[in-house]
Amino acid sequence: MPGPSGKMPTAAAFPARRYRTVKQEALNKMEGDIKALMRSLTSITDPMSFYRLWTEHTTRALIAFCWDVLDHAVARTPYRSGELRSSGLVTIRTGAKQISGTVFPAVDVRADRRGNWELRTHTSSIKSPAALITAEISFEKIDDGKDIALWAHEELLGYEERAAGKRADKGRTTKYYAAKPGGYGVGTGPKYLEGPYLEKVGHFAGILQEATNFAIREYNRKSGQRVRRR
Amino acid sequence: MANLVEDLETYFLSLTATNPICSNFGTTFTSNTNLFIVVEPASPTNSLTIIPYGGSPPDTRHREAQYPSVQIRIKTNTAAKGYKTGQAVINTMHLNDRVGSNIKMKCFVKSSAPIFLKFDEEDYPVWVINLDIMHVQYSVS
Repeated sequence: MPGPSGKMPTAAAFPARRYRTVKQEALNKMEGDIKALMRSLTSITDPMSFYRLWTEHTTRALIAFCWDVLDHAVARTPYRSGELRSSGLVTIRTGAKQISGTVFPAVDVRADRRGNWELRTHTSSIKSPAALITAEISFEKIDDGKDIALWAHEELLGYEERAAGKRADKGRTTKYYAAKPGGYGVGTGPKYLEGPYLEKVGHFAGILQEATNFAIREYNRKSGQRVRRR
Repeated sequence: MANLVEDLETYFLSLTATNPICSNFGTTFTSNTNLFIVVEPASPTNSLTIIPYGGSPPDTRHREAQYPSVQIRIKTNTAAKGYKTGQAVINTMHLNDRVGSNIKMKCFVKSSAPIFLKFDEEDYPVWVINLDIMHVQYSVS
């Protein structure tokens, strides 16, 4: 589907097979309960304008949070060729929802750690109201059919801890040692995404609260109203 | 003086042959025979290893609450056996609050199915399951 400029996203921007490893542990899903939020505020004369501001500020706050987690995750990601590290990506999706008879479409925004944004499908910007905003932080590397991103994340046993054993080889018993994992630099290791995420997710509620407060202040400034939380 | 790893070990040792984990694994668990802590040895072929790791920070409002994470690592001679054992671990451990010996504890599994990690150096499949544990802190005195 074309973007607002009428141009199609390039194939290089969106690989045909996007394998999301470690997604399950990093998925940060937030359901914006617009109705509950609205009940907590004093009367709003233009709810759609408020919805848009709330969606924009919340989405930006979510992106900032995910970028911070990604930054710290990249520093801990094992490296050799650098492919795994450079695959770190944040994807934000604001979900479609029918509100008061109007269907607001989904927007998929992909932002890498250099701050480049790419819109996947959209018929409007992130300023459209949304009832569901999903964020995903992912790494991806497949080598010879092996999921390297997953293996590097989940293999907790270091080289020194994996016991040597014996293997039958052409009629003789030979001793082998656990293969030394490649690519572990200083400060890197397993759980390179889960660790930073768990360390920082406790701050997310506060960030979200601030985003909501920004939306309320901006709405008040533009509308002349004085909306407050009950 | 108990700790998280010992409580988990005791729990797995207490499972009878009719428990789904043991029936899929093929036998009950015995320490240092087929049940290990932290280090998964090259032999035996069939083993379950409990590996604790950091998890989330302790609670800031209720300082007694701690949230460590644990990885259960299953190595078996066939992939199907490992998968079924892993799924039985998930079904048994998710929301399980019977593990703690003298403290309150609850387990939360992080994935709905076991994660296939790799084939080890002898081509035996290895599956992992990650758990979040929520418990009142153990006494250190």
